[in-house]
Amino acid sequence: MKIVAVTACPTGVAHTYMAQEAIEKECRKRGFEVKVETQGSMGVEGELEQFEVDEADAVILAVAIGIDGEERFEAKEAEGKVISVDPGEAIKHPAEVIDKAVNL
Amino acid sequence: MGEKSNQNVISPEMILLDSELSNQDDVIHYIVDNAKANHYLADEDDFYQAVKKREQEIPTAIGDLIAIPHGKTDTVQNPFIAYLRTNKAFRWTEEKEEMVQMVFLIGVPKESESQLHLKFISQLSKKLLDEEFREKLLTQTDPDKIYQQLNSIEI
Repeated sequence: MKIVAVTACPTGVAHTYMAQEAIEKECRKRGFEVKVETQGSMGVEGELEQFEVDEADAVILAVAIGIDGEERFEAKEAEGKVISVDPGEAIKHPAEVIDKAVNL
Repeated sequence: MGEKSNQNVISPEMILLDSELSNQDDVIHYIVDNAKANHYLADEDDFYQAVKKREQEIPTAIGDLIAIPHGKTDTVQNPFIAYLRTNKAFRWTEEKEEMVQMVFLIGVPKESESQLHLKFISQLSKKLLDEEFREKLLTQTDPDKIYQQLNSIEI
């Protein structure tokens, strides 16, 4: 299973990175491949290339604001392989969020 | 190398254990006033409003007795993280059940010139998901040890 995600929150100082950590942790626990792009106060980090998005089995958008490069996920969206959650949700209940992504 | 990323972001004066406060407003007010007294803020009201506004959008309680209220305003003179621990867990908001006992209040300037400060804050936030790290923050009785624990985070 390969999962990619974007995390972003309004201030971009804490939740963005906590959501990243929570998603990565849960994926590692399950032996999934994972890459998380953060769009926070330090700019865009771990930027997802289009091919990485294309190769993913599921996309998690843990974002509470508009993000840059949303068009990268359009094809996945059309396949029904994208879930959107609040960053806080990903921090509090990472297992549930990953379950949802797996079951898309 | 010589530069310390966490310089002044955390200070012993901004770590408070055994607080008797028991609601969100009082806790945030208390920390904000303290930040002003320690020269992290030019204007406490402006910053307080920013933090409360963020709380009203989505409360920052993240489970495991932790809340991380934060604000990003021009009145922040130097990025900071303050830690306040209450003696008893309390409900963070009236509407939700979420209980909180450990409050990390984060302040950053609107235009932060220091990526290292931001990096430190993000690394510390991530560490809060580590159970062992959290347990120490909850049970450690010596504020100096907490200071060292928070300061030891590597970026």
